Amino acid sequence: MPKAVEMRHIRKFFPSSGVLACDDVNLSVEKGEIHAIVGENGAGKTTLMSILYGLVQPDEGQILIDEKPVRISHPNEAIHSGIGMVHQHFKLVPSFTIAENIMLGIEPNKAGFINSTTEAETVRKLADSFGLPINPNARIADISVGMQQRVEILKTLQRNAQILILDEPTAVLTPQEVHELYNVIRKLAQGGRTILLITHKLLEVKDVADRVSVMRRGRLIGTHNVADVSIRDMANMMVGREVILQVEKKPAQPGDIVLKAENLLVAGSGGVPAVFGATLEVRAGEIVGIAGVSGNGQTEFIEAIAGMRPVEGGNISLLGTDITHRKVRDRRNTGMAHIPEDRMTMGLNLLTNLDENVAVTRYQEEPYSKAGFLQFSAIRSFAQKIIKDYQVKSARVGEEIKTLSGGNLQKVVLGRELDGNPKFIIANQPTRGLDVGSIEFVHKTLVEARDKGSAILLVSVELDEILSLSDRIIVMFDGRIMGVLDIKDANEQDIGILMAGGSLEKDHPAQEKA
Amino acid sequence: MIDFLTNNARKIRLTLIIAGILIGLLLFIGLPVILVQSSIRLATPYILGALAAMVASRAGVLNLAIDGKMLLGAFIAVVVLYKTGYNPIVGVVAASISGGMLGLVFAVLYLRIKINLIILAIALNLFVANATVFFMRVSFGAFGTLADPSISGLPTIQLPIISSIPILNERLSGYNIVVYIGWVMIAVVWLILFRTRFGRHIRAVGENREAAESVGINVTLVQVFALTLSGALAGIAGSFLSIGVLSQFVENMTAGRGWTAITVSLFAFQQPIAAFFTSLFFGLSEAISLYLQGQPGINIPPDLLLAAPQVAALIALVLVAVRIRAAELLKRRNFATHFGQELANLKRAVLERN
Ligand SMILES: Nc1ncnc2c1ncn2[C@@H]1O[C@H](COP(=O)(O)OP(=O)(O)OP(=O)(O)O)[C@@H](O)[C@H]1O
Ligand SMILES: [Mg+2]
Repeated sequence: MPKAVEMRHIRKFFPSSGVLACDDVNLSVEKGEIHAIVGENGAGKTTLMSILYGLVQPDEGQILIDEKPVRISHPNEAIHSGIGMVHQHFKLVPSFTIAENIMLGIEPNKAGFINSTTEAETVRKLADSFGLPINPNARIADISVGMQQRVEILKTLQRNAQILILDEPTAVLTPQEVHELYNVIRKLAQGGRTILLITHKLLEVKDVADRVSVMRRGRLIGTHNVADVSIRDMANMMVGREVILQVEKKPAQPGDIVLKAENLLVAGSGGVPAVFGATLEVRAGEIVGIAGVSGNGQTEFIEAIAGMRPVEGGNISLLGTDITHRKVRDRRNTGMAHIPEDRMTMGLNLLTNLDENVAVTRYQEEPYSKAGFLQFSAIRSFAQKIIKDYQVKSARVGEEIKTLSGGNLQKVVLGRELDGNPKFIIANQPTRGLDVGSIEFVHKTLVEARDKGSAILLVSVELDEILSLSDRIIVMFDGRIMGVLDIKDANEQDIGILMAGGSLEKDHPAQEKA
Repeated sequence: MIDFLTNNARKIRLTLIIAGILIGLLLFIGLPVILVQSSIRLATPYILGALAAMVASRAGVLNLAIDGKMLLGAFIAVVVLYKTGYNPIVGVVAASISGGMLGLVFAVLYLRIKINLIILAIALNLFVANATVFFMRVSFGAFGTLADPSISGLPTIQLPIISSIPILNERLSGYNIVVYIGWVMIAVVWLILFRTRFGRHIRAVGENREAAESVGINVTLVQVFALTLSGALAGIAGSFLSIGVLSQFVENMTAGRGWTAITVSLFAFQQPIAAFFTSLFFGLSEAISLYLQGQPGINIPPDLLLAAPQVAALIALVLVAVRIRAAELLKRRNFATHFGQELANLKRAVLERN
């Protein structure tokens, strides 16, 4: 088999964070294969791919494309060599249409004036030729995440990419979208394109990839045929120890009601109810999971409970206090903690340092401030404690956090929110983008919090996660709660039926539609 | 049932726009001719200045040095004409070139040497304000005002067809060239921003710089061009102040108009056409203040009259804020009554059935 990509002896040291992100990495990818790259958070996967795409310059090493040595010092040269990259965080202009985004930088024009009809037509033809239907004139801001990703893929194809890099493409997708994406990837590989796929979901590796390379702490420790290794093997190689994939937990011992939401009515964007009469109770010492295909009101429901979206009807009480219209700070003071869905925009301020990020929820309290003055030593030792307790790799107190890898950023959020035994915890996609070792850690931490008496409300697009962590499961569809299942009676099939809007009993009131 | 809110909002918006156009037309025809004329004249530096601010901020650079660039343009226009006998058009061209050059300098200092944007803008504004005073004294021996019979002002131009149409002729015709340049530039900037590659790259860079970078757009180059264009527009605005009005340069003669222009651009949500009307509004409020000062029978303290444009700006701001807030409250109230009722009905139906 001819080699599409060879990276030899790649080394990259980041002086600013003191991390050796790539340490003598040798990667060889055959033409037409789907090559997965797995590894813990901060292992250097994104860095290695950024080097291939010309976004990061290696200190040492050589790159060969189609068995010819090349120098890639800028994404333009990568594009020229037939490499395309779909980034972990999309790079799209929200107010532009799909066609405008795909053709950005290569617009068909006469004397500088763009011909937008030709443009839309070109994009439509491109999309049809790959069997990826889109509406060229829709705005990015109005389309789903799965669709945005399709735009990113089409963007690389329009530039005639033969080698496609996808960095954690499924982290933000719904299960159906994941399924579709993998069909697309398979089709592209069959058409002779080479796919490099970074992912944390080992099941997906098993499903879709031909070969897998494992990275650990900057080193590439092996490449295997996917058929020859099990999920457990991959997990152990990544982490360098036995990983427990199953969550171990005792049956819950629910106590008093901590959170109660009654008949919530919440508006979505566009003036339609996103949550239509949802009622929910969470007791101390239990984990309640919300399952549902994303876009069925979970986000708005959680935002309403967290105080980030106004409630139009119904009420919410926390530990007996009515918090329906309270500010976020009041809710937190009453005992709420919130791990938000998006760590980059809601969870953290990437422009400032670790200390300020962990202090932000408690800087008004002793000992972090006294008489209105911040106590930096107390804040610093708190930051230190979080780094240690939550194993935030390569993070240092007082330093900017934006260079931390995705998984480590999530650990900072977790540490801040879970410290101090909050009475009520909202965990929205708590393991998104985390490696198996970290997922194990987060799950253990959440179960521990439960056993210490916290009431936990969990939302996740991973059904596995809901099933393995929750004590009770509620399923949402179209802004309504379709059913509540005890974990003892829950199975994937029933949940699937409820998630699709069906009902389990013939004359269940939930099947009544407006 | 789903669309009723959005439909309503659209209707309200349309009504407001039509009302705005009607009021505009009424004012245009009903106000005394000199008031209309002076509004249009006074709006000109705002139009060009707002376009300058807009081009820069569309490219992702908050350009707070508009005032300095205007002042430089005003000064250079006069200097070029001083004792040379050149056609005043040369002054306008020189002003735009000098503004463009200052824009370029701004771009290089900001993008290459990475000086803080705000500090850089303040420094440039102060530098131009003081440098113009310095050269006025040292090179021309003028204190406070630089005037000379050799500096000819811009002639007025009668527009071909329009000057023969009754109501329009006196209101739309007979201004100097910079006024018309301002109008043309509204269209030009709109075309550049929304119809050309360069404009699309400007907007992409301003909205998501990384997206632009990742497809190989040279972000720095785009910003340098945008800032240069912005400077040139501000320079032309400045030339209007000096040779478009009295053919003289006065110390600090922009009097903060560059800052107002930035406000105009923000008010107009960085849209050229909206900026045109916002500028006219500001021009009108300034014109009214001047007009009332000249009316003998009116007993308003002159200081208050002088503050009219600022008061107008403040009122506009408050109105915009109130409007946004009211729309939001109204939307929420409609939503709660409508769907709350529906939810209650649904529940009653379920209860009755059981
Ligand atoms: N620009 C940078 N400056 C300094 N350090 C960096 C930079 N980019 C990455 N690093 C560090 O290099 C290491 C590898 O990061 P990288 O983003 O490649 O990890 P990753 O394997 O993609 O992890 P994840 O799965 O969490 O996305 C991390 O420790 C990170 O903090
Ligand atoms: Mg990564």
